Amino acid sequence: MSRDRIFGLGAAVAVVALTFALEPKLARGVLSLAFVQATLVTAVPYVLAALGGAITERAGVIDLALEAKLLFGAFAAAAVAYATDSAYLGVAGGALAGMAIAALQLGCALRLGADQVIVGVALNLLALGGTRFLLQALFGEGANSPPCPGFGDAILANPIVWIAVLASIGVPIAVARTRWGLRLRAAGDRPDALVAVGVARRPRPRFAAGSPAARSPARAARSCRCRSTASSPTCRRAAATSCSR
Amino acid sequence: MKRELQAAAIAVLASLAVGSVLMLVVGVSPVRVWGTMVERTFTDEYNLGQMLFAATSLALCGLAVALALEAGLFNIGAEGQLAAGVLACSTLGAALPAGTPAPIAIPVCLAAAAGAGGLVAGGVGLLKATRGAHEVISSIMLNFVVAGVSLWLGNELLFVGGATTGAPIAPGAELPHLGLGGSSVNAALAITLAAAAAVWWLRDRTTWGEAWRAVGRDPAAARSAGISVERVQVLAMTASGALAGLAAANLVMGYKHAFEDGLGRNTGFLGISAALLGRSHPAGVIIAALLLGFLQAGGLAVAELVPKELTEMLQGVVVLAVAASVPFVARARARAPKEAA
Repeated sequence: MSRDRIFGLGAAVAVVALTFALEPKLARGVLSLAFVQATLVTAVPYVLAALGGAITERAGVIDLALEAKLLFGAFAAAAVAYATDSAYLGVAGGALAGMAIAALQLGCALRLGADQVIVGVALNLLALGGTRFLLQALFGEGANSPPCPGFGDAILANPIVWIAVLASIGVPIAVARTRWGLRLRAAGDRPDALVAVGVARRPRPRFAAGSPAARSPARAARSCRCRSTASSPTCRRAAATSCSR
Repeated sequence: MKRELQAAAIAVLASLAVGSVLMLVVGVSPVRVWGTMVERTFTDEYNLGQMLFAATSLALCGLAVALALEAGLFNIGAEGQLAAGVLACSTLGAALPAGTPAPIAIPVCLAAAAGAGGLVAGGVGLLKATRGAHEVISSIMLNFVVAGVSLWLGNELLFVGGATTGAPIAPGAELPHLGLGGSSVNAALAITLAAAAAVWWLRDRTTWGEAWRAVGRDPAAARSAGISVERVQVLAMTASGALAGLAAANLVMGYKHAFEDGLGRNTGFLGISAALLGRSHPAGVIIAALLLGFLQAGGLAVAELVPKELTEMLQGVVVLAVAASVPFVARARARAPKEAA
């Protein structure tokens, strides 16, 4: 372990220890089964969003728009599940919404050459107002969608928890061991190498601004699936809260 | 300069178009909504005042982000710096004896607001300069830390009477209202204009500003020209945080006159929009803040025609459009024959 890691780990442990020292009630609560369950359920969106972010990061794309994908994913999951009366279709809808946002993001960043960070921030703002606008337009209410079908409270029977488990095993393997993963990492590390072996087209001059190998990041966008499904089980925006019933 | 104006104009037109389409989707006439929005905002004193009030906070946060951006730093944490400013300004303001005269109380509270914001952002700059921690990550994370700390302090110490509001600040620290139909616009508007002028002077007329912009354009070149990149990063972040913290003056000293949890929420993020839309130039930031303020106040003024969420959404569309139109204009001009500069 490098010195930096030890430093970081030590700082994290110190912060947690300090929190527990200040709030002894918190320390007792941590030792219960309910707490472990709650932790797992709360972790699911983080796990999926982080995996999605990690994939694009490896491809050389900074993804600040994860928030936007979660918000629109949550909205789409709730709306589709409500309309079709199927939680599974809701998950698919959430995933598609995440991919749609990714397409918009890449369109702006790669096609038009806009700054990736700015596009990310803008999409987050857009999602903040946009999801509420859509709720208002479709359901006539700015904060919640009507209750929609969900997967119930049992963690082990919740398919999204299993998606998260499988994704956290599958994504690292895919990135490290498959041809797709190799190209993904090459897009982030040496885009010109991808061009040289003929995987990616050389970015045309007008696309050149800020785009490491125009094609591979676009592929990475498909993995946005991971992010948006994160919305359904536990969620911050109320649209999807109703989904977990 | 001309390029910046073109990009901004394209972005505003694109946003108008997107907004109009959305209005058609909801089933109202865009002409009527835009018309009513302009009419109500500029003929009604109260709405005009509310627009200026919103623009004041946005302009300060926008100047904060723009200043850091010039030094190549993306200060995405204006939100947290503003919250720190609110906490410090209102706590100190409430701690002052009730009889403190304005010439003492106002500068003290302004210094507290700017100091707290500067401290938070200065820490980000220090982490960047000494440990290489990316300022985007550390400043986003500090947003949560500051929000958590101020809610915790509020619950433990500051909130009075079961509300989420603290004790009122000393009357001497209140900034006078500017009238305008009983709206919230106050003397912080003048502070903002002064701050914009100061930023412009610093940026365009001093060697400091030159050094900041050199670091922003190319840190390696700046270093070989003898500029201490680390020092510039820490100073630029601190100054940026101080500006974001100053926005607390508008909210606490000019409006709420007390600590309140979540006061000015999202203003820091919208400040990023103002900075980007204003293309980092102080005058541009002021204009952008007025435009965003217009969308906010105007959106509320036409709330019975279209949901106010629509104008919230448009603020995001504006930024997206700016981001996309800048390289577009740059390319178009690169193709055009070179003109005498």
